[in-house]
Amino acid sequence: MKYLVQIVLSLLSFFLVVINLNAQEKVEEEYRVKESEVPVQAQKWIHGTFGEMKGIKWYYEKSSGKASYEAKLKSDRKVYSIEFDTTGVIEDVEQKYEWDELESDIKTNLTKYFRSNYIKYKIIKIQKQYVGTATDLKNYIRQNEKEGITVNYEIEFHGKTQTENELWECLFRSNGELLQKKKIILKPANNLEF
Amino acid sequence: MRLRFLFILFFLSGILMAQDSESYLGVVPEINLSYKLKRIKFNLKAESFQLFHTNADNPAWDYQYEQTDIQFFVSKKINPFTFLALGYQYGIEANDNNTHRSIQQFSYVFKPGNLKWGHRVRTDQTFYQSKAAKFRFRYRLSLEIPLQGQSIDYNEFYMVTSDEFLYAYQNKDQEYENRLAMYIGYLFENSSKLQLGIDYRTDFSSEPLVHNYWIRLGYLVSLQ
Repeated sequence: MKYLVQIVLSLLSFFLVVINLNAQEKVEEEYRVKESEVPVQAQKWIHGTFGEMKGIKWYYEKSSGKASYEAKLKSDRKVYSIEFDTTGVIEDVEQKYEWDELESDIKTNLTKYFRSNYIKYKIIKIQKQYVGTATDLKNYIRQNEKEGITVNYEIEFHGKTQTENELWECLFRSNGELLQKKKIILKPANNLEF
Repeated sequence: MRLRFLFILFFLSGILMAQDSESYLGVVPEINLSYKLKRIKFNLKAESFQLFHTNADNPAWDYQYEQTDIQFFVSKKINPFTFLALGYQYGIEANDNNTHRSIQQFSYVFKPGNLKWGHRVRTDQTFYQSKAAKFRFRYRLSLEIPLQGQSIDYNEFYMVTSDEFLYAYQNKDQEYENRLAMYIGYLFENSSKLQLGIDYRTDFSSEPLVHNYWIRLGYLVSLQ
């Protein structure tokens, strides 16, 4: 009896060693950092725009070889995530929205895209992405000045086609034109599934 | 803060231990291999229950082999969140009364924010050599919490906590069991996970109440 258990366990551990040698994947990183570890230029932009606020969460991110810093904060009941490059130059500002809060033009355009590309779809997260110079972005947030600002829409959704049934992240121009499409790969959740 | 609250909740549950109850402490090493082939996933799991301490009649540290379970599942992904699986378990019991079990399960895993939630509904039927078959219905809610940053990335620690309720029916007898578990885990670059923690099981239908504390060490490997 005991031998049987031992044999099974040794076979399984041998299998594990073999598997580990073969399973390599792309590495993505993201972790919390202290504000003092973030480039000064990025800190200055945040406080120059939002004032001396508390509760800002800073993250260091590295994906597909590109590194950046990200600040997450809540101001005026709006949720922002602001991305900077490693020298502290602002890249974009993202703000979370609900479907009902979007303008009717973009809703029509997005609906057209989803209906013509997917049999079934469900929107999970909507973010408006604002791109512009540091000054333009600051003026937009502080005074709602839209000059020099490009608005895109980043949408995370579950979409089903004839061949695929996956989670996607798409970036659209404000006229509804698709700029970028990425498949979201979820980390394995065997511990929750079994 | 979140962590502290969960730990307090976990240890408060230990207070449930009334004077007239039995408790057992044991260790469970576990390995879990998953192999994904498009929308189908194969899962092989082995876990072995070893008892080390009992306070039943005369409290003592004493090693006792309890059982080893070997499970095999075929799981189909319905959409990115929903999985249906059929499984078979062979149980190697201490007294050589080995068991066969058929398992059906529905899992729903989703991540609305930084936390990943998992619902699992399972029915299983266990067949014994000299006893009537046992039929069980179980529901488990689990929560995976990143401990470094907003999501669990490679080479990072996380925490998993879960609670499962089980109802069993065997030869006109009914049993109720609760399983509260808490693990600290680590995700390796090759997508494998190492988890260490406590699985605290309360058997409400036995007289006196039975508390089982299983220290579990699990290694989970995923192949895409």
